[in-house]
Amino acid sequence: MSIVSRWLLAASALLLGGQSALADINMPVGVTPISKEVYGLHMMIFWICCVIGAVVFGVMFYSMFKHRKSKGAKPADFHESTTVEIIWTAVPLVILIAMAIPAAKTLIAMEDTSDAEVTVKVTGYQWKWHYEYLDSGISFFSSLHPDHNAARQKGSGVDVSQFDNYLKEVDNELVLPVGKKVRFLHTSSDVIHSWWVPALAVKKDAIPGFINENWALIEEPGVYRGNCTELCGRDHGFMPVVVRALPEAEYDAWVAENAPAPAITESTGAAATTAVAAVEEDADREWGLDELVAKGEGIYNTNCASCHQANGQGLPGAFPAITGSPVATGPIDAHINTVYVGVSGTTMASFANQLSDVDMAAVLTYQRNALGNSVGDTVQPSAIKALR
Amino acid sequence: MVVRQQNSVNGATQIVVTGNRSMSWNANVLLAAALGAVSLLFGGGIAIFGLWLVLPFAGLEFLAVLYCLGRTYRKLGYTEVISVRESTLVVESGFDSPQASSEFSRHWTRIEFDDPESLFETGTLKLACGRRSLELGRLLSKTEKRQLNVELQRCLGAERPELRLVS
Amino acid sequence: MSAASAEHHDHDDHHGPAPGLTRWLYTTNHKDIGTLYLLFSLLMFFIGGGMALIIRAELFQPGLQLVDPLFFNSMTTMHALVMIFGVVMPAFVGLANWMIPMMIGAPDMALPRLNNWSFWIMPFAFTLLLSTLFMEGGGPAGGWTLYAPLSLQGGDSFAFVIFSIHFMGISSVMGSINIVATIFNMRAPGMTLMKMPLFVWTWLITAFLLIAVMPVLAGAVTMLLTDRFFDTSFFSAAGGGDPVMYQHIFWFFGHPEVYILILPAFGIVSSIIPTFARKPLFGYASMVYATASIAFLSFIVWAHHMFTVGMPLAGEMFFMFATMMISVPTGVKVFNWIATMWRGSMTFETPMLFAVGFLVMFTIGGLSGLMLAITPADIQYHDTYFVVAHFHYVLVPGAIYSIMAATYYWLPKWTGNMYDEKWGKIHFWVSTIFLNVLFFPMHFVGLAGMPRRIPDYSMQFADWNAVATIGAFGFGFSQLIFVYVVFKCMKGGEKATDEVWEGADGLEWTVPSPAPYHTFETPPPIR
Repeated sequence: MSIVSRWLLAASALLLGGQSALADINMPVGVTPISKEVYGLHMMIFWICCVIGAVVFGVMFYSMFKHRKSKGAKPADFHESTTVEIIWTAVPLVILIAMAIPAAKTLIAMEDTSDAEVTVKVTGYQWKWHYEYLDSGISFFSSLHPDHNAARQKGSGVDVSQFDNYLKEVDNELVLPVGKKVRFLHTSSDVIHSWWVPALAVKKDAIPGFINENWALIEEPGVYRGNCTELCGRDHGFMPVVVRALPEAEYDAWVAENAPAPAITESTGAAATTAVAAVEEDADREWGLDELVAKGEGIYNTNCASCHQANGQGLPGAFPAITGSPVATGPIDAHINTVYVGVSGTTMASFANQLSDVDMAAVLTYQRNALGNSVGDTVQPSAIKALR
Repeated sequence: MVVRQQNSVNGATQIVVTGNRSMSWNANVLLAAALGAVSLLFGGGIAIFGLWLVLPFAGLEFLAVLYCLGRTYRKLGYTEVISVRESTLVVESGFDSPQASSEFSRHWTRIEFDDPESLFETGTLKLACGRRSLELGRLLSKTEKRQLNVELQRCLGAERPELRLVS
Repeated sequence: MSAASAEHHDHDDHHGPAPGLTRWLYTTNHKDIGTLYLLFSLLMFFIGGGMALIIRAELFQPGLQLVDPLFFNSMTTMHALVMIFGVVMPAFVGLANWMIPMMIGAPDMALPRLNNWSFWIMPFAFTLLLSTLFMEGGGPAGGWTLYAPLSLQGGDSFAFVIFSIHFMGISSVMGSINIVATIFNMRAPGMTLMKMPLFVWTWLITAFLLIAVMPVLAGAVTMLLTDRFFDTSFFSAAGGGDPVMYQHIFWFFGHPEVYILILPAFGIVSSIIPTFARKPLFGYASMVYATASIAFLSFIVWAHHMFTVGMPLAGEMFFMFATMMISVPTGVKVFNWIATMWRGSMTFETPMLFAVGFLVMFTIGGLSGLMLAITPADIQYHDTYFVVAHFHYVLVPGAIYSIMAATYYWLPKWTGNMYDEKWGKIHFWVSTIFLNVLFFPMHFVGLAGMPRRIPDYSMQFADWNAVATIGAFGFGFSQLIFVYVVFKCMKGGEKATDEVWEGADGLEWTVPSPAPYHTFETPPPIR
């Protein structure tokens, strides 16, 4: 849509008191009691500022129009008035107090994380989110959707406008219940991130070594999207947050389906146990080279390519190349150690908690046998399992 | 600043050349102490949280402030007093008290003042006698130098009634 | 006699310019150093502006077209460092060097040789900083705030960044001490503090702020350096340090720094508006008190940059109220300026246009600042383009416009020639239109949810980002007009009269223009 027509639409919506056309130029109202209060505060202070602006600029432009030399204005000589100074110190003070009271009320409500029914621990990683439901034990990583990830590479040649929610789509969405108070615990495993969903008015920094709290009570089912808002390195712009709010019954079903073995109830237990067993078996069996390399490519592109690049060349000085690297072509134990433990003082994090045994074995094997390397050996999932 | 005055003891004409000092030394010390106290307070407060590396910078800065104010104050106190005697000019100079003095014969001494046209040069003003020369009023501007030049010309010139000389 | 001459040596002053280029290297004359600062700032303005254009070019369309995200991050980082430390601060110091001695009736700055060093450190500092872009691993990419632990992930070039910040800090502190020493010790007889022009007052308070907070910055970045290279853990959570403390002390420096970037602008506007309104400044004393209150408040509001780090509720309340309080003295200033214009006899030459542009757009930035002070709303605004719009509104039409206004206002005095009024006005109007095309849409995308410091964005932000980029290129290239006008005026032109502007009040207008190499050794009378 052209800008002009958008503007016209926005202006007409403003006149008619509508909201939808303003979505692209104003704060969303959101779907939680807090987000609605925040929106109300935002609009209140916005209009107060508009009125102040109109008065100040009105007086100023009137003066500039009337009191100009070309209109024959003669300068007056006044240059002091204590009364006037007191008035224009006191009036703003009163306005400020009027604004501060509702703001303080909302702030107090925002900080009250008591009586939450669901608690989710959100951990920031460079550059993905990890969600852990403390009540049901479900946990998973959430990264930028692979299609979007491919499209956003420089020179990908993909027309990004084909995506409905370009850069705001993830592989695993955070699923939350509607109508329940959800508490978030924010922390980080590396640098500072910030978890933001505008529709929930939840933004909190994820800081390594600290746990921050926040909460939301979502009132309407839907999908709500946000971003990391604290600069966290190269792919800061590519770690979206997607929240899917489900009605309570659907949410319960989702939990039941995804909860790990210990939390499984009698009725759904059998299928899930089978799945877990299959994973266990996968980790124990002997894998072939081609099989691992094939599996490793996708994992490499999701987890490694942002720094080491899809072609394995790295970025000189910042991120080392995988191709021909002394680590990826050297002793296998040192290579495993680099990925499993990480390298302290650098962006290279520990992937022990981020990748399963099979995935880590696959990506290590991929690095040794693709991207221009051909060491010829394999890393077996059982070797990773043995480390744990 | 160029001031012509009579010596209170012997009534001799003197020309005093000095800078303008607009604040006393005590006030300068107070200023340095206040600036230092604020920086050190911040440094100390932050050090309580274990981040002590602000303190050394605050300390260094305090020393720099003290040194700079001291140097400014001293520099502005540089004074040249030119006393007119019967046959000589005595130039005493120094910071606050006379630290050097030299005598010039009124008869044989000339003023060398190059007063360049360019507004961007102040020129130099010298007393010269034979091969000796002494630059005066280095702190002064073009206008003040011109004023000093006029004053000195009057002192060197033929005996004039308004100059009361010490016998 | 030889002994006597040996005693007469303690002078910092040179008499008249040395020949050739060494004149500029060795000069201790306040006007030469002022010129050097201003030209340096102009050069840096184009370097920092070039970086901004790289940023805006990448953001013209969604998708990554031009640069790697890491390079994009180092562009945002460097753009800020260059603009803050390389453009606005040196320009203000340059103006201070030119004008303060004249305004208080002093022959020169108190410590001319120190003045020379303060300037010549800057080119070295910035060569060091900019050279990191060409090193392996690239320049700093963790944002100009250098938040730990992200900044500690940088390459070895990080050490160069830290040292360059140290150099800039030393330069600023030495410049500030010099200004404080000059204002207090070298005023002409009769020039009492409450008679000083507001530009002198605002600079005095700015210098206090600089002296108070520069050690904090120096300490903070030094601790980053030791964390990165010497295994200390001041800010590393793994080693028992506290990454949030870095933010606290950074912003304890950073918020006063924000006012360092705007207080001298207040002084400039307070000189220009009375001249073109042909009416004395309204509420001189209240202007001084308001400036001092803003400076005081700047020390107790730093954590409003950190409302999302998880402070205790009481802390958030305190910083919200304290921040809102700043709008009171700031409002007083705006009202005083308008009262100065009221019932004046105004003309709108280029300096006045820039001053009015300052007044209007700085007020817009101030109002969005008030919105940002409301903590619950700030949680939505924080780290979005709304913040980017806010601080660009106070810094570009605020600080930068005031510097341009000052340049047009005083250029005839400095060069003895009148600048080209027609091109000056064109410069103002073209800049102002593009500036609003550039920064106003940032409010929209910020409110709609676009985070700052991202190289790529969702489709919903595409239209306004395209508009902003067009504005950015327009604004950037229209600054070439400024360069043209300034250099044309420096080369020659219509001779300026002694009292350049009809309504000009204030001490500096009593000396013939161009200003003599040393002015006011004879203290002028003060009314």
